[in-house]
Amino acid sequence: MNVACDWAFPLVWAQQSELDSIPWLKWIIVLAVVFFGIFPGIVAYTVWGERKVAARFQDRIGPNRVGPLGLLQPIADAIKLITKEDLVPRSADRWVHLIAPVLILVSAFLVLPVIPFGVGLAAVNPPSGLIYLIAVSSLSALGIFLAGWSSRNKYSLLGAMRAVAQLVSYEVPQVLSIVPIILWAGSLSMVTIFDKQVLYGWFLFSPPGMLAFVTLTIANIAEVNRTPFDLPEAESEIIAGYHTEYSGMRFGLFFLAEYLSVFAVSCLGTAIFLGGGTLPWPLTGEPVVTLGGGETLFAMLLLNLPLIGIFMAKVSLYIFLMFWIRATLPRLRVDQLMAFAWKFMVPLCIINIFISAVWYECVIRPSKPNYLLGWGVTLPLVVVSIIGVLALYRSSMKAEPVELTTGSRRRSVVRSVS
Amino acid sequence: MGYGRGLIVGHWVTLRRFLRTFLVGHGRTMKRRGGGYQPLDFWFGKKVRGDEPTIQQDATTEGLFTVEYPDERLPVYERFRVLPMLVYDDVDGNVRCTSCNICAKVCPPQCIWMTHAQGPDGKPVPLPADFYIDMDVCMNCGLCAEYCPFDAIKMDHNFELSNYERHQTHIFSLQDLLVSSEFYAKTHPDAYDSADEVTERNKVAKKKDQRLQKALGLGAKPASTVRPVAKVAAAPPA
Repeated sequence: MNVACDWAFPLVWAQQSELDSIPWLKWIIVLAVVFFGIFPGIVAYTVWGERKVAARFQDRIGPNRVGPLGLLQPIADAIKLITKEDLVPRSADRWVHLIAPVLILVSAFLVLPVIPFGVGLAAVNPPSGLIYLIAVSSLSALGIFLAGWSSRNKYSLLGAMRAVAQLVSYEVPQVLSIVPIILWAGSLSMVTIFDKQVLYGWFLFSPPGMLAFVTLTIANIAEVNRTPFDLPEAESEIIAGYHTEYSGMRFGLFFLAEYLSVFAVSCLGTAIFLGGGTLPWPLTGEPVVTLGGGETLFAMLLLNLPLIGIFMAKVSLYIFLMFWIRATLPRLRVDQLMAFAWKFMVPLCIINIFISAVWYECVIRPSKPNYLLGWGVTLPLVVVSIIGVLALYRSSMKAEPVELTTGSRRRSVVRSVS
Repeated sequence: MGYGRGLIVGHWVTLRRFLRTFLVGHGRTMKRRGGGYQPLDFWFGKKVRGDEPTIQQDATTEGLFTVEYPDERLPVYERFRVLPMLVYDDVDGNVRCTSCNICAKVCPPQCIWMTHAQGPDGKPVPLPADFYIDMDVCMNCGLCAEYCPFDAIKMDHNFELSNYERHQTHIFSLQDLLVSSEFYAKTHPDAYDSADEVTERNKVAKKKDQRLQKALGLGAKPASTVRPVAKVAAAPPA
């Protein structure tokens, strides 16, 4: 863990210019309250929410025995996980086995400091916030591979190798669909991106923005290993994938990390496409425009409470979207997964960068933005590029020979009989 | 070659199911949310054990399907059968069983055994001194109830038979198996009122009275004048 993260901390610290006693106090409060209290609590109730929502999708009720509406279920689950025996396989690599879940959890946690939950509420604001975010979120691939490899179990190793292939593949479209935002905001800082959206409205509201949001959502779902991209932990094929050999609280760490990264990618999507805590177009930048400007603690609270509320509502909707997709789609095959990433998502994202440059030239760069021209030019471009890439993708999938010997033999037998 | 139509339709289908659990059936109200018997349960006004509401469900049920079993029950139909029970007449308190051993002989897994009662003079009396059913072995076939010539064995509805100990408690003795004829009339109203059973019951009751008078030398009144069922029955004993 140390070796992997050593480069990330100086990056953050170097960009925090003044670190005297007051910021240190602030840091301790942020770490103690937010990172060890609020975020794990959010994760626990995300799990509860997922169980409730998935149950409703299947005409069931979901947890309702522990406390009213099952609200104490996460606490009971946590107690169970903590008190369970922590087994390490005899032939496992002991230390790597120990460190891997921590590494994944650290990767999920490190994404959150740069998220601007409100005005002045990003824990750190490095000028290269997006680069940092992409870098730390890709640490989880290392943790997953270490977990799978150190377990000395064929299912674990298979799951880990699938996970690494999948994460590496889907990081490319994930990053490529963030590029339009960098282009439009002219900055890598998450706070600057938020401020630009307060001024100009959500980055979602443009044809290339919508396309980038959809591709980012698909890539995000793949990055957090959720259905239909849950091959690394496909329980019907490889038991539990990379965490097959984990038990007790170490399995709990994987669980925590998984849902924390769901929360983190939802925060990412919300912060860069859905305008953070601001309201949509007719009320562009609304709570900030009306309530901003005060420097007192009361003014800060008055501004940030609605901002955080709206932000969390958007994050909940984004997470609900993930639950909905999970309740609907079956798991992809490995070849479908890779072909979808490299033959469909990556070309589409690259084309979309050019279309977003057109939008930049039409709307953002001119002193007087010409929205009509922007929509008129980019919307047909987006539609044509989606249809074109999809047609190319389909034809490439069709060109591959998928003749199975047994199948063709059976078909010939049937033909001869009939 | 569709462009994602299946994706959209599929997502609409699942979303509709999700929404319908809130809009139709009992999911619309909060009346039937469950809750166990744990100390951390804040749901007051729970029904006592055995008095839980019975939920009627069939193929037309929409929305939520869950029946929260200990707090709610599915209906138990009359011909549902689990273990045999021994019926005694609540009028005179006498067991109908004569310990004739026919049920023990007919029982396919051989899980019934019994001993004859003895009168004060040491002679055998047509009553069971002990009657055992091994409920682990019983396969709930109901043949004993079919074959019983004295209408003494009926099939019970109680399916909540789990125990913490199986060597002592799973051998059901006479005391565990005895139920009153009133109980039987309550749990099996249709069978109790059917013409077949009324005829059979009257025939058996008369025989039982004669038999017991003979065996015990008691001056019991003829049952046909006492038992209300015999008055209701129009059919004369065959």
